[in-house]
Amino acid sequence: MKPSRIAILIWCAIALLGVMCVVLPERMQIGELTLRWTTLNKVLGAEEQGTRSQDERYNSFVSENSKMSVSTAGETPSSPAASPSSLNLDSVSNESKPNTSRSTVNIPTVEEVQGDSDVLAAFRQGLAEADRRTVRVVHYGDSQIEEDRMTLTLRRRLQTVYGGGGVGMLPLQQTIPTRTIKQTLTVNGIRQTTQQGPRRHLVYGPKVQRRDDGLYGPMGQVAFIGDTVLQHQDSAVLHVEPMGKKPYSETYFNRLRLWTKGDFRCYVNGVACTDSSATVLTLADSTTSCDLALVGCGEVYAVSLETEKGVVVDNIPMRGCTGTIFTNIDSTQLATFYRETNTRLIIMQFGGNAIPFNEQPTTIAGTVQSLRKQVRYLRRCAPEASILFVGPGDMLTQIDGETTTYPLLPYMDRLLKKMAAEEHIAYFSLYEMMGGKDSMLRWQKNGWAGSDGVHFTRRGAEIAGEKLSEYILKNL
Amino acid sequence: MSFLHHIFAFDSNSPLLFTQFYFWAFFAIVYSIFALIVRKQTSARLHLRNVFLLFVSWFFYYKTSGLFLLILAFVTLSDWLIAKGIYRYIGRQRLSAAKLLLVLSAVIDLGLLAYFKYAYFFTNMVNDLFGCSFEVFDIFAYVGNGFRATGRFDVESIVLPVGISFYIFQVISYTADVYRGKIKPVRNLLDFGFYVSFFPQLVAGPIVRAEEFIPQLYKPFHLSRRQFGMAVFWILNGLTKKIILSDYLAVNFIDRVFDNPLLFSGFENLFALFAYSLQVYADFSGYTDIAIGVAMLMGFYLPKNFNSPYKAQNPQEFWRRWHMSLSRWLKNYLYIPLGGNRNATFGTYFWIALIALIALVLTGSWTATAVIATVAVVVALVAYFRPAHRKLLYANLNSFITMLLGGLWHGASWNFMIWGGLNGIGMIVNKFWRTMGWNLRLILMTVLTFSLMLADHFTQLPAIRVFVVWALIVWAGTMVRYIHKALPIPPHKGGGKCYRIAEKMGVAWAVLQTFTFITFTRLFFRSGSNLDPATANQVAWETATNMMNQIGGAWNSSIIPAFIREYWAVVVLFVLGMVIHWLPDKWKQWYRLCFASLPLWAMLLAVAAVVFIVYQFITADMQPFIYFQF
Repeated sequence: MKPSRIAILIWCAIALLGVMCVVLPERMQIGELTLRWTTLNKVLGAEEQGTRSQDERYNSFVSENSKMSVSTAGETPSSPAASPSSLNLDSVSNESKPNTSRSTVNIPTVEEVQGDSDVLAAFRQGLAEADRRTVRVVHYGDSQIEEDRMTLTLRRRLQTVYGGGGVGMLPLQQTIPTRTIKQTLTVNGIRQTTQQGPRRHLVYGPKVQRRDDGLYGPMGQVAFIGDTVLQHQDSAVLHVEPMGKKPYSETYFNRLRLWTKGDFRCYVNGVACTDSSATVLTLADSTTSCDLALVGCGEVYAVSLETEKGVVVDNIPMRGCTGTIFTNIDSTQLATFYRETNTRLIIMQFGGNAIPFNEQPTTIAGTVQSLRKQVRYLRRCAPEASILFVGPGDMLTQIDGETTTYPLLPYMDRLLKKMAAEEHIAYFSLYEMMGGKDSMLRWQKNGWAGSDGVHFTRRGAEIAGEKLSEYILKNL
Repeated sequence: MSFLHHIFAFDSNSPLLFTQFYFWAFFAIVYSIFALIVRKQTSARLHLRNVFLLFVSWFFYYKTSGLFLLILAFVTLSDWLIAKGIYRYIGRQRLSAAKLLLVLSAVIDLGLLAYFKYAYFFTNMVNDLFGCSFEVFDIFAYVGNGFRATGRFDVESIVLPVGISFYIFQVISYTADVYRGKIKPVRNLLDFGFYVSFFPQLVAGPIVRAEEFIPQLYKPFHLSRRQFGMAVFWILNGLTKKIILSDYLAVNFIDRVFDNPLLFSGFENLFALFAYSLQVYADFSGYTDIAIGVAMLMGFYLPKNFNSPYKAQNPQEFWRRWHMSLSRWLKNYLYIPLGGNRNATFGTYFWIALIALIALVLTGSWTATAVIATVAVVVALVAYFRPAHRKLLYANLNSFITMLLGGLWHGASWNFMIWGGLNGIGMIVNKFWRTMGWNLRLILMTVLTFSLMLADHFTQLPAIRVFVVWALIVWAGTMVRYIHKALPIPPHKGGGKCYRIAEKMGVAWAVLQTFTFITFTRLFFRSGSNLDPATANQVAWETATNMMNQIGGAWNSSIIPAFIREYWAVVVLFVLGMVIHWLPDKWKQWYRLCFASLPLWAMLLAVAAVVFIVYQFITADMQPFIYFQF
């Protein structure tokens, strides 16, 4: 074939596609099938100006943070002298306030956001006692906080300032690994896997995994050892050890707390506990690992690794959860837990799972309304605690071939902020912190968010956790 | 204006990619000028064509990589001069001088490659070994800034120029071929530049050897009607593979699993791993299909780079079908110089020592190094005392080293070396396996499977569990083949019905085994891809181990129906992709020829239809996140 003929054919193909751009509509509906096509303007780049200006808008945030060291004071490995095993926990006081000016990004005060500066007062008062007893922070959230993401940074910051150690609560079986602690569970000598592990009930799981009496415990999940009906006893051994070799504040603990129901005998590192009904097991010295054996039958709600003083921060991820499940947990159980553990701050980080499946503003408003009920419920259960709601971060979807923020996400963020103000609780907008609309694209580009356009990478989680810590510490 | 600016200005965010309209607009303009030039087929016009395409290629590279064009120009010039020198010295029988020049060329080329591609890798290695905390410093950026640390270029990071791995290998093959006397050096620098930077294959191959391509520079343009049809077919085929099979699967499922394996169950992780095998093939082969088609439209023929690799029945055959131009390059310019299947050279021992060192860094323990060193000593002793086995040992050693370094070529992290090493081990094991009798194979596999099952029972480790499943697959395949071999073959029929069924099952099982093996090695390949080089090692290793733990531990078969229901589009595409891949070659040849024989108007309509369909996948709604495991 002659090259001139081929050239004509190439131009013909381009012309044909050009004609299609003019003739065909952008969206064609054939039954349930939506077909899309483009326009000449889009192809020739005439509609790009908006995107460019958006890019510029978020560049400032990215450039300010791209060089930010994530190995901040709260994340620096503790020197041996600073580790709780040898640390004088009394030495940590409220006077050592963190330097919140490390980042140039403006973290708003509660007053600026909600016109109410007192929403974290209960937590502030609790921290005043941190040199005498434990002050608990419970961080509930969806998959965004799995693997101890965000919570880890917050925990390190708070423990650096107010003392304390340990990773807080753990479920009996670790179905979702974390980056801080390695758990192995052996039942009657057989190491358990996710599939073979003990029977569990989850308040946020599918229907088959739920129970009617609401006894899910503080983590929203319960594992069963042995059989209470048949009085069949099992021996469950939980081994915990730190994930990494570097010593951080959360690596060390000198106290174990148990939340169980049933008939158990406890052994710590092979030594029987004198008081079989004890729920708080104090160790002789600080440690980084231990074996906890439970022999008997009953329900295990949680095991907590902590210290006797300072701040304990729990990471409780609830995969796929919109956060509307707390009312399904028995209120007496929750209230007892919060009271006994001196819980002074409850963080609820939800909303992201409501976004992809709700395409109407009314359903989003319904979800927020339901979250309001949860807030009220938790406040009734923990009247001594402050509540902080963390809204969803930016999330991406594809609209006509363009990757952009879910249309109703900013709306939900606004509704949640309003709800928080009305309920007198603190609100941290992850969405605004990230940079607002389409900021997830930039986070992805910087390696701070994964390709799903939803979850942070570790580095991104560290940055987000750092911002959350700054917000809390700034508003105390 | 925005459109023209898009075409001609450098923007690191908008490289010219085959999958974007801008490339095709660019190509239409280039082809129109090209058609005017080759209207007359005189030698002057041919020369003009080559010069024109050289500058077009450089422009293409500038659009993709900006000022890294200077690196491309530099290696073009240096290898052109060195090859001329080598040829002159060989003519004068000064072989040592020619060899010296060859070494100089290798040092320059591999030095540049090492600098841009492996700076982080080596820095991390030195830091890990000696407890230092060195950081990379881009000397080119420093010079570019007028010997200042701040300025237009960032000195704190080293950016990898696009396509450097491909064109460096291409110039090395040219200089080596001149040294070996296989080709004469190209007289004209511009012609040589054209060979090095021909834009369809510049960014992602295939790696074209000088002896294959340079003769084409002096041939007049010729493209038959059917060849034109085939070129269009390859382009459409490539676009479809790249956008539908690769990008859609990646965006809607695979990437999110590899980004965060712990969010997904063992089954989802396993499916993502298999789907990745299809994705990486569709991505890479799709791109080279387009390159082949585009080059063919201009009358140039690039070598076939993929030949349905997942039809391979063993790892060796896989490497003869996968990235064929790289496999040939590694064989000719690495495996054979190492000694090939005849003997061991200094290179063989050098690489063994280096691998032992790398193992030390990788594991952080002297035990692993001692194990490798012991294996090396045992091999050396066997080679010394058993001359009959010497060749076999050398061949396998050289083959293993080639695979390891081939792995490192793909990316600068340990994961790529592990991936290469696993492929090397697979090839060696397969070689020995084929020398064994069927009784021995069956006994061996039975013992191995049983041992692994016992180990799984006592350790409950996810990795062991994965090995158990793998051993069971191989055991079943061995059993099928064992039965096949045991069946009597009726004379004058070439086997009875049972025999033929068993034979086909044996082949199918071998293909499945190989595909599974290759897929599992990709666990390490994908985990290390697209990462920040500064953290690549750590992230890649964590991803691989997390995935392995999920596959071997957090398995939950009950979610499979729900998974298929929710991710039906992903599952259908995967199945469809694999079915098309496994179609018999004759069928593929048939539909390709049918397409190539279509009338031109029908071909135009087909182009419009394919672009329309592809666009539906580009703009398809993203698959929302669905959790199956809590």
